[in-house]
Amino acid sequence: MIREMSSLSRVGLLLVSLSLVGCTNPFSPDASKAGVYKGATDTLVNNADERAASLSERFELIQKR
Amino acid sequence: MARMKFLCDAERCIECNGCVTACKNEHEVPWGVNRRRVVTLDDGAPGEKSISVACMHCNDAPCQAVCPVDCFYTTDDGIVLHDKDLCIGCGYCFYACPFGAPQYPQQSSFGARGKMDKCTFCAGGPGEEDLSDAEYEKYGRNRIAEGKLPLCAEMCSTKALIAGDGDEVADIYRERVLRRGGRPQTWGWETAYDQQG
Repeated sequence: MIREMSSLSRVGLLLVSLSLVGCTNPFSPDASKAGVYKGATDTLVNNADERAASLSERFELIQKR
Repeated sequence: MARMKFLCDAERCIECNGCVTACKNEHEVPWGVNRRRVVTLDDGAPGEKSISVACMHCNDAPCQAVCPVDCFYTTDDGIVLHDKDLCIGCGYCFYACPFGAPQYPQQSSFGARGKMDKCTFCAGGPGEEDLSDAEYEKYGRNRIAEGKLPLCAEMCSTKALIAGDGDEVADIYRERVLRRGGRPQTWGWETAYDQQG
């Protein structure tokens, strides 16, 4: 009886440990560099050259009068 | 590469607040938030001077340096913008800014701060598609994407407020100073106050 119980508990332990395998979470903190923008991207950030001509034209038209 | 800057010519500003009104109207800025305002020194006294102040889009922006969640960034043409999804409304940028540019809409009782709001140089903001309703709702009009300059400067009746590439703005101001010969250019100044210079 004791042997049967122990084998049952061994199986039980094995099942419990197997069921917990997926619950572990590898700990790796997000080491973010201070002062570096972490928000969403803005399409205006990198295409300044494309806008430069039209903005310069607008400046001549409106601001330089 | 152009670096966008504002410049307010104190000799030309007549404190009409047209820039303030234009800004509020264009972006539908909430009550209590002023992205731009006109400051007058020696108000009512001869020689009073007014300047229109908003975010100056600093090269080395102190708001950007102190932000604990790093929600600020600078575009290639020098416009300082921030992500309202990241902002926690802590107010550090308000203390750091020498121009008092960051503003906080009151969203609840007990004076709790909402997300920071400031002048975007009419360039919208991140995370939303350019010229979309979502972007307008969050950051206001994106005139830069439309190929236009900030409305406050475009609306200025005396051309006191200039917005554009820093070099070109500086050239205009330099030319004005030379033309004035060191004297105020305000119409009626000498007649009204009997003052020279």
